[in-house]
Amino acid sequence: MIATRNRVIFRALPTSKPLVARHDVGVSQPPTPDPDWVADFRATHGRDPNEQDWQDYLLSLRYPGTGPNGEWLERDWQVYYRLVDLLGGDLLSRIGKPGGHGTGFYSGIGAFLALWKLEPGPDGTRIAYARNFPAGGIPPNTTGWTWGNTILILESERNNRPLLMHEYTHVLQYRYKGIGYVPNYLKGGVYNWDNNPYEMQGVEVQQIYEWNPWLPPIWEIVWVGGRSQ
Amino acid sequence: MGAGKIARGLVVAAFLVIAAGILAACDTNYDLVIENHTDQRIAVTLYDRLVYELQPCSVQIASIAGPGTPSGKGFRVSVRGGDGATLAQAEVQPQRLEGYTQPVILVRIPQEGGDACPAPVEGVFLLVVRNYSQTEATIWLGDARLGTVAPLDQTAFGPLPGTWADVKRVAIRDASNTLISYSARAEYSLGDIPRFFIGFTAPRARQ
Repeated sequence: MIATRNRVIFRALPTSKPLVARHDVGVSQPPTPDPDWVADFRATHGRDPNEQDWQDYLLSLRYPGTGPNGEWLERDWQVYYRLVDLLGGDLLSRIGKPGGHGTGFYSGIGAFLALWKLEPGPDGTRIAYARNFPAGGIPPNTTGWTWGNTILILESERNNRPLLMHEYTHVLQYRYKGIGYVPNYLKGGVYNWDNNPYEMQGVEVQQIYEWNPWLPPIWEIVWVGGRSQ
Repeated sequence: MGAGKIARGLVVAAFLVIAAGILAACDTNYDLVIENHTDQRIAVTLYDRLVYELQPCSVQIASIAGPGTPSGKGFRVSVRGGDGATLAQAEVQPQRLEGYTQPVILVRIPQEGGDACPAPVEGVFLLVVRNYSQTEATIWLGDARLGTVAPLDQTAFGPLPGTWADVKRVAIRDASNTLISYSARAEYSLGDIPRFFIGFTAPRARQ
C-alpha cells in the first residue's frame, strides 16, 4: 500500500489523537508533517515522537531559536523544557481556556479596579496599563497585579516582557484553582516568597525570560500532554 | 433580614475579597545589583532557587519580583565561592539608589584585605541589542533614534551617557511601528564600560 506522507506520520505516532497545528499564528500554512523530522527525532531520542513532541517542533518553526538562521540548538530545547516542567501540565493545559466562574469573578474585580480601562491581552486576558493608587488602580509600591484574566501593570512597565510572563503565570494559576486561588495563595504566605508556590513559579518564569529573550511566549505553547523527554 | 443588612453584608464581603486580593499575586519589581569585588567566581542565590553566577571582578544587574506591599522583610541572599564554600548569608533590605528607577537589592561582595578589582565605570553605558526575530527593528532611547538592528543580529549602541535607569526609556519598534516588549539585564567586568543587554523576539514572518 502506498501511503501519503501525512498518513505515514500519523501511524508513526504512538497516540490516536490527530495532529493539530495552530493556524492562527506564525505561518499561514501549517508545515506538512515531515518524515525526515520523525526519522531525526528517532535517531536523536531513541523513541518515536509523540503528539507533544510534534507540537513543540511546530512551535520551534514559529519562533526562532538562538542558532544560525534561527535554528533551535540543544541548549534552547533544554531551556524550553525547563519552562515546560516548571509550569507543568496543570497550568499548561489552561492555555487557551478562559477558566470557570471563579476566575470570572476575580476577573470582574480586576476590571473594576482598572475602571474598565482595559486593552485586549494575549490568550483571552485583558490588560490595564495603569498608575499606582490613588491616580490608578495599582496599590502603592506595586508593579504588577493579577486578578483572574485581568492583569494590571504599571504604565512604565509596558515593555517589560519577563514581568508580563510572571503575571500571565498567575493567570494560569487562577484558571487552574478558580475561586480557591486567593485563599490558597494566602495559605502559601503573603510575604513568604521563599516558600509560596505561586510566587516561586512566577519568579522562576520571570528569570527564565530575562535570560532567554528568544523564548516564545507561554501562551504560544500548544499543550496536548505527554512530554517524555 | 432587611435589604439594608444584605447590602451591608455584600459591601463587607466585597471589601474582604479585595483586601485579600491586595495581598495575592501583587508583585513589585526590584533591581538586583550584584558586584563581585573578589578575584574568584561566586554564585549568589535568592529565594533559595534563583542562582546568579559571576566571574571575578564583575557585575550583574537583573530585575526580580518580590512582595508588593511593605513587609519589612529583607531578601534572603546567600553567596558561595568557586569552591562551593558559603562566603556570606544575609537578609538584604531593598534601598532607593540614584541611577535606578526601582528599589535596589544591592549585593556587594568585597575582597578581604582590599579591593582586587578596578573601580567601576559610572555614568556611561553600552546598549547591546539582540534581535531574535526575523524582521528589522528600530531602537529608540527616549526621543533619540539609536538605529536599527537587522533580523537575527546584534548591535551595540554607544557608549551612551546614563545609568541602568535609562534602560526603561528604550523603545523597540518593528517595521509597522508596533512596540515590541523586551528583556533586559546587565553583565560586565569592573573597570569596563557597563554593558546593558536587551533582547526581543517575534513570530517568524508568514511564508
